[in-house]
Amino acid sequence: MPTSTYVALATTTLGATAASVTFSSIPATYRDLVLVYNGTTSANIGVDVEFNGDTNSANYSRVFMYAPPVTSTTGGPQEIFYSSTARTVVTCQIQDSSATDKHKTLLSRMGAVDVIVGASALRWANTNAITSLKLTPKSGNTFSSGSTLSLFGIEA
Amino acid sequence: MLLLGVLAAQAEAAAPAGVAAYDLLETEILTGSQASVTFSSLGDYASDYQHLQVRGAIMTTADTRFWMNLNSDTGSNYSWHRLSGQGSSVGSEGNSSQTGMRLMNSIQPASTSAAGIVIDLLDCYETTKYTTARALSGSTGSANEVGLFSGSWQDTAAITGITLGLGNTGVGGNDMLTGTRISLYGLKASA
Repeated sequence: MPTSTYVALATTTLGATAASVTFSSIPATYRDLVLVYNGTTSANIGVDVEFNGDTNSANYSRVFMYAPPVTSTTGGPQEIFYSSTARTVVTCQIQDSSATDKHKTLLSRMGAVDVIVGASALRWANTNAITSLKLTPKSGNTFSSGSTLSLFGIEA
Repeated sequence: MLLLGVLAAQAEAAAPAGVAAYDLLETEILTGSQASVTFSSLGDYASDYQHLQVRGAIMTTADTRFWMNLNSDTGSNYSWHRLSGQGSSVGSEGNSSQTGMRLMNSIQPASTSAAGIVIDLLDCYETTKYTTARALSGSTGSANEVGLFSGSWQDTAAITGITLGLGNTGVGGNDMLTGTRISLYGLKASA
């Protein structure tokens, strides 16, 4: 029996600049999460993710491809996409986010206007269900006012 | 710092317009090692859906590849392309007359570390065109790779079945482990 899913859990459009955005109290009802970002940042810069308040970068690993390559303001195991001062659109797929038998995998696909196009995969080496997700532009930069971030849940 | 509680945000959200268009159809969560997963009743969904999506979290014991066959066709009727990055380099590749669509190039071998994959099968019930698919997939670790893939099945038949599995040159050769999850979703066309 088909089950309607892909449920909008939360959306925010920033009314002011923000150093970070956190989605908290994420329900375990959904097997996968999808994060959609449409916004700008105060600099052309990478954006890091943090699950469940885990700030230990040793628990994260990632691989990416950006075209053209960017190195000066990017890097680190928690970076899931790169945002520009013009406009960036990103979709992140977080597989088995509520499962407790495996590490968490995030796949992202992005386009930053006039800067890069790319994709990345990230692993969080933790079997806990994801209950919160924090996004932080690197080096003290901020998300710009008007940026929109949405979180969706998908059952399995 | 902005703290956004999901439940609070739900209460504030306006009711969405339109009709829900994305349905969970089937899920397989492996309880033992298995060479492949097949969804064989896709014809049942033909009247309701325009596109299908497969979402997976795949675990295996060997660094291998992920493949898809349609309608049990293992003939040389597929082509595929990949664009993938390993962090320090980017590679591309294309092949025709293949026995399946390659949709992931490298999988981290581990019983707790899953490779992620999302596959979109477009217009898969239409009989006037070949069925095409695109995928985003990747894993990190000793097999460190993220990739964008496209594939074509050179047959105009509506799809009735999907077989997914691991191997170097096609489905077969490596097992998916307990806990591997593969789900099938349907996307409706507009009325």
